[in-house]
Amino acid sequence: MDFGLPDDSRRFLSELRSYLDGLNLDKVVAETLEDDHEAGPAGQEMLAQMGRDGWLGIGWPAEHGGRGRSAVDQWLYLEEMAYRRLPAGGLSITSVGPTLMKLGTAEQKAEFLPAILRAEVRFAVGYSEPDAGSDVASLRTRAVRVGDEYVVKGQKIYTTGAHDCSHIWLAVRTHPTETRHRGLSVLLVALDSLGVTVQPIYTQADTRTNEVYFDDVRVPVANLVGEENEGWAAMMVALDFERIFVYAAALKDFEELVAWTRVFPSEKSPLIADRTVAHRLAEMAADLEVARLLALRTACIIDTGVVPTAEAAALKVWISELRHRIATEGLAIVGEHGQLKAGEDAAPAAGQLEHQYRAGTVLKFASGTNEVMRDIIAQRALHLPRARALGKVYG
Amino acid sequence: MADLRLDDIEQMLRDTARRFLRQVSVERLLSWETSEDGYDSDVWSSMVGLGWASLTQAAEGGGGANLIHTGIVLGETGRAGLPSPLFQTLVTVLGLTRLGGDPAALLAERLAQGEARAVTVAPADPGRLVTLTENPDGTAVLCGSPVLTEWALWAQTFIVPARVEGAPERCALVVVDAQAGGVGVEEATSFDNERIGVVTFDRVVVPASGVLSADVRADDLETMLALRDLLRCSEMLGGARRALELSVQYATDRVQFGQPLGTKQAVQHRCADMLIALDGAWLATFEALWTASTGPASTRSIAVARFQAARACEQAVLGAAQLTGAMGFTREYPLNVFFRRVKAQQLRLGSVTSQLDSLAAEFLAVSEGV
Ligand SMILES: Cc1cc2nc3c(=O)[nH]c(=O)nc-3n(C[C@H](O)[C@H](O)[C@H](O)COP(=O)(O)OP(=O)(O)OC[C@H]3O[C@@H](n4cnc5c(N)ncnc54)[C@H](O)[C@@H]3O)c2cc1C
Repeated sequence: MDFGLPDDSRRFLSELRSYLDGLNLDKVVAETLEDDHEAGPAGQEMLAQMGRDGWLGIGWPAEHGGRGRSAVDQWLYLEEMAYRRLPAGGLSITSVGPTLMKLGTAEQKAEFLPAILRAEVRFAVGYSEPDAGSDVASLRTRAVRVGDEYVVKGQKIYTTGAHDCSHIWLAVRTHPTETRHRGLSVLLVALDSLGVTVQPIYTQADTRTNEVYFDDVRVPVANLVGEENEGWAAMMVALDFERIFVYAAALKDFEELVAWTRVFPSEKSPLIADRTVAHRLAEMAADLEVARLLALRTACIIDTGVVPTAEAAALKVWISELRHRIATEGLAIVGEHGQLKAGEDAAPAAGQLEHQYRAGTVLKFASGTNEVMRDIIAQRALHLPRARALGKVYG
Repeated sequence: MADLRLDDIEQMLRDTARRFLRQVSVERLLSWETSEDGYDSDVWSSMVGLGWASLTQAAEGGGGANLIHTGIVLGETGRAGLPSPLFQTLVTVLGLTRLGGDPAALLAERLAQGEARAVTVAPADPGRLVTLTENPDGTAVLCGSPVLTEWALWAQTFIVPARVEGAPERCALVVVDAQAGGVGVEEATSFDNERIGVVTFDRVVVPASGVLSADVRADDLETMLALRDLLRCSEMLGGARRALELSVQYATDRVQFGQPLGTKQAVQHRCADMLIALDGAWLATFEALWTASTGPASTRSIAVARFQAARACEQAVLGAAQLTGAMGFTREYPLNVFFRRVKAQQLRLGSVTSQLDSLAAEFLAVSEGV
């Protein structure tokens, strides 16, 4: 067992830190405080700059313009960005790009990979539909092949970023009769294609996500990822690249909470001097350490060439629940002043407690609901028996 | 490169230990529990023969002990539910090696070879350590309120970390014969299967040769006691892991409502939560063991490990008690051994209040007992 970071990783991290220290990122941070699901305009500008400077695609191989670094280094990178409340390029960098490297055609790689690294191409993810949430395999958006094009018809929902991304990573049903996991395909679709309509959905966190309608949208067959009707496999590969969940955003929330309890209601007699308060904070600190270790373990497993399944599920459950708990319990510690909304000067901890209280429920059901994560842990790691197949119930 | 898997040697050590401990059946556990000595001296001799009692001796060439190896073996004895003086011996050898001088190293060697029996007498709370008063002639006097001590009646010798009267930053490591005048040893019964004695020092005169070291820094002593907690965590985690294994086994085999109970999501999710918590605590424990093996121990990591292990292990045995129903409640089913041991071990780490106090001191820079 070796818990130590190699010198080379430490060097990499300190280079990254001095690079980031040299950028003026106040606006980007302000954007993240309002919406940490998606980069805003300043965030996109920063990402483009970082792309030009060679600071995107940390884990991408050199032949695709990346740095070819380990999963542990990529994790360190993502943590550093999250700790500074900066966007890190999202799924285009961590998941879509690497999936294309594995399954994409030479043309797709040439067209999309350099553009992703320049932050010119950004993908929204189109899985969820009104009737396909946790059970994404029941999706119904259809793509019918006509000559060298697919004609796409259907609707996606909660498609975050669709209003300002260039493309969508779209899961569709291509086989006329197969059901569920069989007969799906993934298409790369430009969001400015004719027949695409994007409509906003506003959330309780004051953020925006979207509904996207596809009305006979024509997509070149060249934009099919992998084999036709083998889209489930592509979705699973993309998912495999999405297993590093970071904890540093929660750490930052926690540190801001602690800082607040040192000065409120007064520096002379602050909240933190109360032993009950100190103990609740201490428990969060210990749980953040576990979050770090679960993340490190996941990254280490990836570096051995194995896809972490149950381990990534454990990480996801732990981090999503901890981050929301820090917000919720943090507000309980703060008390009355906790009601002030982010943006108010007197809002505790830069308003992140109340903001995460509103925003942070999502992680617990999105990216694989925590209930399904627990199923995975029970069945894959502990080998508990599966319930009898539900047969045609979902048909 | 960071790698959190067991390496080949660690794996071999674990497999060997697991194979050796297969002989520990629930029947034997229950019979040892009601026996005179409380343990099996043949099994103990074999353990010494396997080199387990020497795991915390400093490595040849001056390196520190490999505490990862120690944690792995204790994890296995914990998983077996085995009562034995191993934990006390390892802790005592570690204390002698880290804090004592040359005479201590000789004694440590004899303990490691099973040629002498000594245990450490120190309460969970460092604030309640025994006090040593130094005399001008080099002798000293030990005084202390009763200390709950595992395997006290088994020991011939007590190793006593003590605070030095009038020197707040200084501590001492003292060796005392169990038969010496003023030493009281009373048997007491704990609710698990380890053996407990209550040790009292009533103005015990210690000759100069009994003071192994009179200038141990208070911090070093506290770190040593924290390492004891850490080793206890690894043993406790082994027992809790076994409780989870028993739950999974039961849920897989037990058919109710026409299906194995383990197909139910409520059962699966409870098991999953037990695993997440145990894995987290295990990683925290082994990170702290790794740190202490490769450089100075981190009291911060140990505080995290102690809290996480105490909480996770309790969650696991309580979960197991629910998941195995009436069967889990009986003596003949092994769970009760782990249900009792894990809680008793958790209590030997001290109160949850003190655990949270030390976390708060480490992470929030607020002093204990604000
Ligand atoms: C802000 C936001 C952004 C999003 N962004 C995207 C995006 O960019 N692209 C995209 O495709 N989707 C996106 N989603 C959708 C997200 O992936 C879904 O919310 C998720 O798949 C869960 O589906 P659902 O919300 O319909 O919940 P449902 O499927 O209706 O489930 C509701 C709840 O039921 C429980 N449940 C579900 N399954 C099980 C089970 N097997 N066992 C026990 N309990 C269960 C869980 O508690 C679950 O949370 C986003 C959602 C939000 C809120």
